[in-house]
Amino acid sequence: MPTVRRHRVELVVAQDGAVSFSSEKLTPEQVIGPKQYPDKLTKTVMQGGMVSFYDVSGKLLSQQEVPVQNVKPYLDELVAAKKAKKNPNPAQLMPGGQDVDATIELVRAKGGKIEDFGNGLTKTTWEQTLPPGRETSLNTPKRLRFVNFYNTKKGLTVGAETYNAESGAMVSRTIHTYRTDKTSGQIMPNRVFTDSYLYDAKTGKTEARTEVATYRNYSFTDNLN
Amino acid sequence: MKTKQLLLTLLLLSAVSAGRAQIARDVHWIHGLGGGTSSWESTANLFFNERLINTAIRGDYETGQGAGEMATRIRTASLPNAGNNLIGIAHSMGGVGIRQIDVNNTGHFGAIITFGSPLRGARIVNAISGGETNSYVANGISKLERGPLAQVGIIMPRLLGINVTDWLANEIVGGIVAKLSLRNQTIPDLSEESGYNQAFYGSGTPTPKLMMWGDEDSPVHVRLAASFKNMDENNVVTAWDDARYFYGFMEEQNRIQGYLPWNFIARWQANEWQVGHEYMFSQSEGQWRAMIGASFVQTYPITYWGPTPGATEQDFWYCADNNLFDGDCPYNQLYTGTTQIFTNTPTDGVVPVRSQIAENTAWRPNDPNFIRRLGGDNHQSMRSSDAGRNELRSAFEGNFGNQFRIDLR
Repeated sequence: MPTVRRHRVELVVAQDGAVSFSSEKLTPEQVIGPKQYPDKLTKTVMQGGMVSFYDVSGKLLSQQEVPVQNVKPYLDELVAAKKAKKNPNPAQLMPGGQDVDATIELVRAKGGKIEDFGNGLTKTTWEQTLPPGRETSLNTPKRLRFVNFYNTKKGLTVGAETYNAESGAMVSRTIHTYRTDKTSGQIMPNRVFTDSYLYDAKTGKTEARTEVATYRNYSFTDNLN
Repeated sequence: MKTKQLLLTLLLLSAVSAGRAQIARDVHWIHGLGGGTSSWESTANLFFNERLINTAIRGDYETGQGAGEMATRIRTASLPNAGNNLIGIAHSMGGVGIRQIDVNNTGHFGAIITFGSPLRGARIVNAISGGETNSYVANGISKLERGPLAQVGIIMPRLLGINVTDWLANEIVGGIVAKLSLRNQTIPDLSEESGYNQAFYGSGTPTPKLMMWGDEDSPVHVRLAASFKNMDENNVVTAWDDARYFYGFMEEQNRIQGYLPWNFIARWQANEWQVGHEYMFSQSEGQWRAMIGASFVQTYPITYWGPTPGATEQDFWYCADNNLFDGDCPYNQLYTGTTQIFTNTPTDGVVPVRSQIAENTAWRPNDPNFIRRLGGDNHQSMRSSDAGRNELRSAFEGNFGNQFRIDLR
């Protein structure tokens, strides 16, 4: 049964690589289907090594420690890719703030495969071995293959597929769609369709689920040079 | 003369008052599956101190040898008190036994009150005996562990100091199954729509009856487990929510990080956490309800667009790149299939309402007012809840007829 949730989400990656995140539930929110009990959670904030959950009055519901996230090595890689890319477009020309050329360059730098499908449609493929420590799980692949599709002429991400690199089974597929913002005239992210396929090795069954995310008031600020 | 008349009136009033005799009765409190003498203890003592109860019978009746054997033992226990003055109050399986006595030995009880009795059987019995409860646990663990296993450095979320997977296996399912203590002939007797139960569907009796049915709030299985463990329901639900919030947070922040240029792996991690989040939010309860027969499924035909046979990867992404979806994509065609929609029905967490109220059977009360809903009560809590006791008090006040009336001491 479809469930509709509206959130205002903010992810900030600081120059030193520190990641903070906040998510606030917006109304109206519609949960369709069988009766479910009322959800007290309204706001989630992750900062430092702590995630905090708040209700609608701002009262703290609970807190939990989480490992401190730092993505400085990735930022350094992205800065290098930005410098290496063929077409040094300034960020403000990238609809929705995407730097497609830098992303493709990043995949190339990691030894990934780049294919041209014509009319700017570009496919990138690279594989990543997951860190060890999950040997007990039958459902966790040891290696994932990431396939991404971009349109370099439009400077847009078209979609992405993730595969279990060992079995070849598709894990998820995402398609991005765009709209033209009425006030700025810029192309902005509109809807993201995600189909995910969850294989359970214990039962041999695969569950499919579809999620549609609609973006409103999307903004992306890229201060990297 | 006037003085004489007044005196006569006063004498007459006095005579009328003395004629309204106090009603005292015997009460046979009967436990359910796996219960014993303590099952009704607090409620029985409360009303013994409050009402004119001459004899309160609370026995320990074997529940492992089938409903028929239990009924025999119940009847034997209250045989000396049998008759119009005896009220039988039974929980769960005890109500099944009491029905057998009432049908086969009508008049043993002057009135009957059942609480959450599986009068059309209980599907949870089929689920336990058929191993479905084990599959339920295995499926739950598989879903709850996906997120933590996908993300190095994140341990399994805990619920009141216990891993959420252990809670599901040992406290919710394990705890409930252990308390029910199903065995031997009781399994076929209490199964959903069992032959034993069906034998009584057509047998009505004139005995006045009240049927109390529990309508527990969501999440029913978590609240039920809390009651079985004598824990505060709200505290356990809050702890369940805290763990659920964490799954939701991990899903959402990975989803957003997955849009960053370098973090493709976060997209996969978001999906893995989503599985546990959805499980805690609705699937876990939905599957529990399906397992106990407290939901029904309807299948509807649907049509949907999909790639034509032979369409290539390039064809698919050409359409995506050009906003050509469904019928607008030249490489798509229409397919037909079916979809299933689940609808919940009220339950006390163990027995669905239709069985608690002996739906479509001759033994249920004819007057719907004699079928009483206990809102927010589960199979365990209903024996000592305010709602259950208020209904009993109302019955003892005579609000459902004189046969239930027991006056104050």
